[in-house]
Amino acid sequence: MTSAAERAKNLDLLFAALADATRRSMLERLRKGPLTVGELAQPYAMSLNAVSKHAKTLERAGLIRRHIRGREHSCALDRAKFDEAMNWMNYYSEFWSSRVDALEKHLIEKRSKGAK
Amino acid sequence: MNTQTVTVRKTLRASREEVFDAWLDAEGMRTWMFPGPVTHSEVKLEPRVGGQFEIVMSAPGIEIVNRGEFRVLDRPARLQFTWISSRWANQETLITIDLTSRDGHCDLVLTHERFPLEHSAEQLQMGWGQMLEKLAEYLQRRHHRF
Repeated sequence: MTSAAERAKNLDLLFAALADATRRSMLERLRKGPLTVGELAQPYAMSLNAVSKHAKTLERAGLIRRHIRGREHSCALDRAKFDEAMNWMNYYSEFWSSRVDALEKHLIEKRSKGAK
Repeated sequence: MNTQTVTVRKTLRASREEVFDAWLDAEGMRTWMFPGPVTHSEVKLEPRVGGQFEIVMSAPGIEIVNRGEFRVLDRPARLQFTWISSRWANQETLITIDLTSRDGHCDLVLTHERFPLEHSAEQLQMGWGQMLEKLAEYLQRRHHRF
């Protein structure tokens, strides 16, 4: 059961996770395929522990799933959840650009009416 | 990629004042706050800082309620309001519209930002801070005029 309040909280977690540049960069890299925490950490100037914390935040938001692979944790992107975040952007880019187009049309019509 | 912000830019063949006023004209808004499948749009608004608005868009089988509060109304340069949509679990988001004139036309930049829970207090404070700054500027300008 997902109430509106729960959905709002899930969306909050999702977007809080996405608010950080390091985490966005991690997701970007995971789009190409799963990585271990060690592999994930490589390009960043931070401790494995710090990287692991970021991975946990992404996991709590449902954006990635962690599996034990041998002695290492492997991280994989949850495509559906990632797309959900992208949907918001796509929805509003389309919504506002078409609204602004309609606004211009409305103003031009209003002017030509006024001119008569 | 920045998933927190959507920005839309457009040059409109209208004056800044016309564009600004259109965002506060409930009657006119019914004709352009009307996306694709929507068959009916109802707009109610209170055009003052702190005033509320509600845009109800109806389509067969669904009704989307968008509401919010005006945060900045700086005619004709800037509007800012919160945007809470039933389409997106009633999350509070923020919209800023900046208007500049260029060769008799109006350049519009609309920024739609999300602010997740942990950021909202800070963001809201920023909103209020800007508002108070504007108010101070406004009062000063008035003072100079008289």
